[in-house]
Amino acid sequence: MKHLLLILTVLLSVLPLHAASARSYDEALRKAGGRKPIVLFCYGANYDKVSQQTYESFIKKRGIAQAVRSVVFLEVPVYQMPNEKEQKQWHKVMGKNSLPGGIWSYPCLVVLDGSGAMRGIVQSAEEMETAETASIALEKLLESFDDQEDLIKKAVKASGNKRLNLLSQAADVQAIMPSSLSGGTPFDPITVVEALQPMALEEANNYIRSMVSSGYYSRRQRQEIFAAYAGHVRRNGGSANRLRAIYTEMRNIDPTSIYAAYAEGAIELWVVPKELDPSKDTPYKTLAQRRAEEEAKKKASGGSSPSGSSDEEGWTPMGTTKKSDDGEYTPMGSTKK
Amino acid sequence: MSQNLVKLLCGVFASMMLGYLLKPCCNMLTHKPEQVTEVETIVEQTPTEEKTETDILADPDDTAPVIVHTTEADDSFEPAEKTDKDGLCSDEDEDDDWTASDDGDDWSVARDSDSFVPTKKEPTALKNVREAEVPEDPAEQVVPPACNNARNRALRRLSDNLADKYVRAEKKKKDGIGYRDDKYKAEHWKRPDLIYRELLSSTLPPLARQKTRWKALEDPATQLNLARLTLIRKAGYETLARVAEMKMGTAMLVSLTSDLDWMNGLLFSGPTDRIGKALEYLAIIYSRYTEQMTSIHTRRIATTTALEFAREGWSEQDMLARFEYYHKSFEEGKLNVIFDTLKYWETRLVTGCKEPSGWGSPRSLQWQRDNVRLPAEGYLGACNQLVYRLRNVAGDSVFSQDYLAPILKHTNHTTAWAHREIGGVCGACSHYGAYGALAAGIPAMTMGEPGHCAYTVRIGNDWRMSYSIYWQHSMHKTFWGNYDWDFLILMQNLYSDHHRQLISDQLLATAELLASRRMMKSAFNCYDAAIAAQPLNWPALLSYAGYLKQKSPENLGRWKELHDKVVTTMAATYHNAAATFLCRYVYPHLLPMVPDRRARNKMYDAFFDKCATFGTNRWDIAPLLTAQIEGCTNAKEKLAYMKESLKTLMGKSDYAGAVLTWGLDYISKLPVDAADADSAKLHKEFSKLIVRAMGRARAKGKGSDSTWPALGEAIYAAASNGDKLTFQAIGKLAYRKCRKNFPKNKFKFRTFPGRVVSAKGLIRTATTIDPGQMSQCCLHWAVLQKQGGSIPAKFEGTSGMTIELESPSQLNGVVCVFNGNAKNDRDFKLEVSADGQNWEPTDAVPVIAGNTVRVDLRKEKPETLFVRLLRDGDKWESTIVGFYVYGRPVRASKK
Repeated sequence: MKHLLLILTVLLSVLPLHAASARSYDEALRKAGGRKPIVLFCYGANYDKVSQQTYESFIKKRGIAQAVRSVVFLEVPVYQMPNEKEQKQWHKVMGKNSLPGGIWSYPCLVVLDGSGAMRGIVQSAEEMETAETASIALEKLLESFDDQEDLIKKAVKASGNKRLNLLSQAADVQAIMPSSLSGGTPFDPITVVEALQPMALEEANNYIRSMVSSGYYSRRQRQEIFAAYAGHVRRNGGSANRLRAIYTEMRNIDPTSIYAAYAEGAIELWVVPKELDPSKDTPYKTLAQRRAEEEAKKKASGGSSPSGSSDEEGWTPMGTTKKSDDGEYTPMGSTKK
Repeated sequence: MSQNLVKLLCGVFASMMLGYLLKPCCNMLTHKPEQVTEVETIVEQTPTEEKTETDILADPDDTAPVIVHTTEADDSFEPAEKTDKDGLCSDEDEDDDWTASDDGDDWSVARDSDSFVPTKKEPTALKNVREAEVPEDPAEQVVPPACNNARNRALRRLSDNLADKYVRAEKKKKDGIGYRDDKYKAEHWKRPDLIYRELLSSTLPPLARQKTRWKALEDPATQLNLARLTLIRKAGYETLARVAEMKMGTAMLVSLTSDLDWMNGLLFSGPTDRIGKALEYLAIIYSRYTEQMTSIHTRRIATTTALEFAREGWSEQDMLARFEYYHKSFEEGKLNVIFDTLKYWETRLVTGCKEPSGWGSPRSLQWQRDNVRLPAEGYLGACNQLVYRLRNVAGDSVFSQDYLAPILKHTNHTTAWAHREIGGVCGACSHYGAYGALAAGIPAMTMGEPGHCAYTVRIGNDWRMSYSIYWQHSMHKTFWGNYDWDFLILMQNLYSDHHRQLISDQLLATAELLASRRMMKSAFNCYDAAIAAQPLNWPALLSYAGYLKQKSPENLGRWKELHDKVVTTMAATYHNAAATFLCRYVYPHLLPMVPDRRARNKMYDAFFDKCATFGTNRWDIAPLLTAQIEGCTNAKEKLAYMKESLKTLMGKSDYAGAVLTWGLDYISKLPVDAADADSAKLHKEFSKLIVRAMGRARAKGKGSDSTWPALGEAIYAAASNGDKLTFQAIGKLAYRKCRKNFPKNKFKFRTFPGRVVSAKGLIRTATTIDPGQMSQCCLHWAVLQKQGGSIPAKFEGTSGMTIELESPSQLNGVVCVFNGNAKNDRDFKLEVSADGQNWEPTDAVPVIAGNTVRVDLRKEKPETLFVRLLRDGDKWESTIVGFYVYGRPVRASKK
């Protein structure tokens, strides 16, 4: 038995760190075979002591080994003002490829799909603080990636409104949508702001309602639509109650998102009188704290998603959608007169 | 089965190992740095230093100063409170009587509140040296003759030898620790006047003599004594006594003045304005971080922070917070490795970054340090991490507080984070990029451009621009009060040559010391040596010019020599800096002493010979040319000068457009009195010169490449000056010479009756023209012509497309052709004006059809000289390819 354990220990110590480690970007793509996700660990190789510490803890001490067991893994050293040797090293790993856009900080963990398109990234200081936090974030991202892939596959097979709905659902997942699908409907929130400008409040309400209920827009996009609407109401003398209702609805679409924080800030600023400010009694929770709470709630309730219409604080959400005067949905960017 | 068992065991083992290995690591990494909280002040706020009374007053009849001798009979050292009379010269003293020469810039122009261009201050005035009331040595009261080339070469050799010795001494240092000598203890620093007297008698004599000066400087003990003398002279007894009384003040002074490297870092790493306040700040840091201050890095961070916060006049609380940010970040290894090896001067650019309570607040810096960790080159693209949004998703303008307000609580009032979540425009994007680098300890700074904000990051020793769209850059951080790009590169190259700069600064300090002791001859010799050692030493050049102006303002030889030195050394690379120095400080004295036009032109040619290209960056040549032409005594000389300068500069592709623009501007500002036949004639002759110069521009062969952009710049200048005739003349000339650059459109639209009365008019755009567009400005003229052209237009408020017609006309209609379909979500409107100031709307409704907008004025038939097309609502940037106003000139119709 002792001998068996010893052999196992020796075997384990010589086993590769990851299920499929690649030495170069092209090799990673080959190993992924268009199906498996690829995780790049990008780190500052010659300028950053934090990257060195992270490398030590993530790679040498195998801190993230568990999280990357089912993916193709590639280490990418990033150099500052590289000398000839470092340039060669870079080319050895990346060949003629370059890193995807959207990397804002090193070290980071980039998730690519089998074709090499970026589908998610773990890079905030909060997430990358330890191997443990990074592993949790990465595993969650990989899960989201799988969910998103499933939805996209379904969407590709579907057509019409069903397809758009599925794509919107896919966009709601934490992972980044492939650029070819770009999250359902092409969307610029400023066009909503511009479209609302000449409208009276009731007309604006109808316009927004028809957009939101169309099912074409992702959660983030719906929050942006509400932000534009709330701004319009605020600048045009809408009542505090109406404003509160809009911001509440905006927050409840996804209470863990940045726009939920925006909505809460807006309520405090523009709706709640200073002397009644509830935030003075309740400590402020960061998004990370809220996400953790949300996760816990999710687990406790068996995985149901956060409600988009909950009204826990007793604020009345807006009424049901009214059709506009002509009864038709007005496309984005055009003005109804 | 066995495979599953192995997998299971692998998993268990890996988890165990992971947990074991990660534990210490997690502990280490989860340790969070302390939040920077409000800091307590350990000493009571010291009263603001009052300016010491100046002992040099301006003569009301002359700008030259008159030295007013104080009544002290001997050179005895007074107690600290009488510092103002002992001849110590402080950088804090501003002598307003020394007026700088006018460089042609208009400082009083109304400022755009949203501008990113820093407010222009008065150019640095030459400072006078305050002299102590010491007996004059007659042998010293002579101005030595100007240095000839041989003497300059000899001085250069001596400084090179000394620099070699400094390099060798640097290599011998152990652990980076240089020469130290704690001869002066705490009790001594309670009486800095005694130290000063002792050092004057022991250190100054060998430094004053030419023969012993270089040898003396080889000795680190002499260098340290010179630094001590400089410190006392600059700070003053009173300030030093006050610092000594602070908690740990004397300990700090002993520690500081015992360490040669630290003293050099404090005194010779850039400006030392308000050094008294810097010493107080340093004492405050020292009292809190006494143990850490033994580290050369902590000293560097503390000294540079103290120097910059004192210089900028920022608060003690902000200073401490900034120091703590960089100190802790460095200690925790969270900065880029570039920061580890920065010298004092470059560290000042980092620790002294602006906006201590916004982008430069510890909170924002810390967030960027942890969330925007990139290699140095990466910060050039970091601006793109922000979404460019003039209005946020709620429609609130970036210029209102509502833009960020709702998110500030969530982001803990962290400027960088809030902008990353919401977005921003050029200002926020550039600050995000620059402060990302600064947070990591990499030198960077934002810079203003006309209507825009950009930034620059130093990669190696190379400053690289990012987000820049224009050639005019006003740096937001400057050592010498000069904001142009050229000065940034000059500063970089001056201080990168560390040993030469140090020697030059030491010699400059000696020269100023000698000058304050009324040792004029030695002081001049020492100035010569300082400038020979490092001719790029801008502060040395300024100080020397000030002393020369004070002591020998009519010394033609020395002014000429200074001119030649600047031309042969600085002008070779730093055209703008050299031109600035000549215009402001040399020409006002030198030109009146050179009455011969040919001799003056020879001097000017020497400068222009150095300017084959724009040098480090395009620069504004107009102030130099204006200073030169103003040196001419009569109209004939001015005409000759303009002819010469046009001839010289039109042959240089970079400068051709700039000189034409200057010429047109100069003519537009000439007073033309219709009753005065001479002034009208002069004006005409100047105009002829310009047109002839343009006519010489080649359409083919050598120099043809520069013709199109040169004419583009000139036509833009003519449009800006409202010079319709020149605008038309240049347009026609460009069409003749560069026809291939014009489009051959055949527009199809319904015209109006009458002739096109705009074809010989003037067109203006409300959009800022960037360098790429500048070369295409002749196409603006073509917009009024049949074949069409191209002009960028901005429709916002009262900004739109404005046309001045050839003459007052009765209009039938207007057609505007865009290069794509016109935006139809807002209405256009047409306004007319007789004077270009008072506008009246027309009743006709502009009709949008595809890419054209037609305004039918046949019912109204307004009589007007100016027409402008505007659009309701938000800003819309578009390109107009044709603009045609139909009607009949009023005089013609009356006939």
